[in-house]
Amino acid sequence: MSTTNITDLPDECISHILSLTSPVDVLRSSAVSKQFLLASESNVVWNNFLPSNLNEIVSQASSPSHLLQLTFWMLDLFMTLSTREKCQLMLSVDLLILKIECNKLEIRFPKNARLLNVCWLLIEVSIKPTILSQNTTYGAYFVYKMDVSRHTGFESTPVNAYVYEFLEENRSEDPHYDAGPPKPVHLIVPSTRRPQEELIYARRDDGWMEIEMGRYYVHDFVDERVRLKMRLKQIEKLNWKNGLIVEGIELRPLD
Amino acid sequence: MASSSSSSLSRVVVKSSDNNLFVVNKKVASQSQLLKQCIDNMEEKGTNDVILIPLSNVTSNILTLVLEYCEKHADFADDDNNNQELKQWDHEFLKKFDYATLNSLTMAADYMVTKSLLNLCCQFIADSIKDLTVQQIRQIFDIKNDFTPQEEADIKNENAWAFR
Repeated sequence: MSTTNITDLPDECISHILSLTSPVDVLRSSAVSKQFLLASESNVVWNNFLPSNLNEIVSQASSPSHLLQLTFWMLDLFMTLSTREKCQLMLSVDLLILKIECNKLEIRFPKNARLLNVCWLLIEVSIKPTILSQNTTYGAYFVYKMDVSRHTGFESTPVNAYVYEFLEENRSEDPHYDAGPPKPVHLIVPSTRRPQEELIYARRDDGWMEIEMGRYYVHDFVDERVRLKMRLKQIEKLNWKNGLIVEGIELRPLD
Repeated sequence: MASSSSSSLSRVVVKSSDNNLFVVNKKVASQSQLLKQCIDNMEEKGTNDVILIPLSNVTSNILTLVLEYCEKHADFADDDNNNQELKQWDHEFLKKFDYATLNSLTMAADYMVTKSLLNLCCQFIADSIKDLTVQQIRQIFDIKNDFTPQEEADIKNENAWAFR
């Protein structure tokens, strides 16, 4: 009798097995073989890591109507959420990808997303520009605070901000792909001053800080399929980053 | 008369890929959705004959194991799923096998749609994958690395932190 290898199992079985490990194990397994890579990319695997109380989280968001779709793809978050306190978005994760699709100009994160500790940071929001006024230039602002008592990682590492439009059908889920040029922004005063880099964060009246991620001009005709994406990421420099408290992203006319 | 119109089979015969026959009572067979479906279909047609179900993908030694599992679970079919004794039995049951057998069993459970056994096997394999390095996974499960060095480096680079 020929013996059965794990690679003889149907791909769905491998995905099923991987979904029962942990997100880190899945990423590691993806380097085992092509079959494992394929299996690791299945939605079956990742859906299983979504917090089981996701609906609850969404419904408790500070302004539920702002959130059309809220998707968390957070490594180890599932465990963090379910085993530690149910304190949503008090994250202690190795990876954070927060994707929100929204129909409002002020995108507030539920209960102020607070980053306890991450290496890999990606926060992005996409909206339909049709909700914006035509012939107007908007500035996209990332609104945040730093935990006064403890924040590290950001003084040495700028993060890249992107504001760009894309066609919905071409939407790329690849976090490495950016249509627009990166704009490096320092969320706090960097430890070593680099004169060529502008420091452009500002303190707001409401106590939050904001930094301009980029600008976007809305033409008088906007294709229904166009989406505007605002993205903040740092996935190359993998030092630990913590203490970032995210209020949200705000779009406002500049004129 | 009444019995023939609502016929009910008490046993089925299951044939393994190496042509061994297993007589299985209905309650045990019903643990497998595949067998249950066959039984239901036959009953709908009103057949009273004992039916033969060939399983072309399952050898007799694996089928013996699947049926052993089904028998045990049929005994507990009316209990809730949290029965501690059953859980303990499941654990002891799987512990005995090497990976080759476990893989065959997983495949058979998948083919025969025996969901609880499939979950059990997958969980068992998943637990043994946890915390292993890429190299260890390949070794333990005898998986051939079919990436080019560049491809492998790219994958590891993409999520570098997971490989530290």
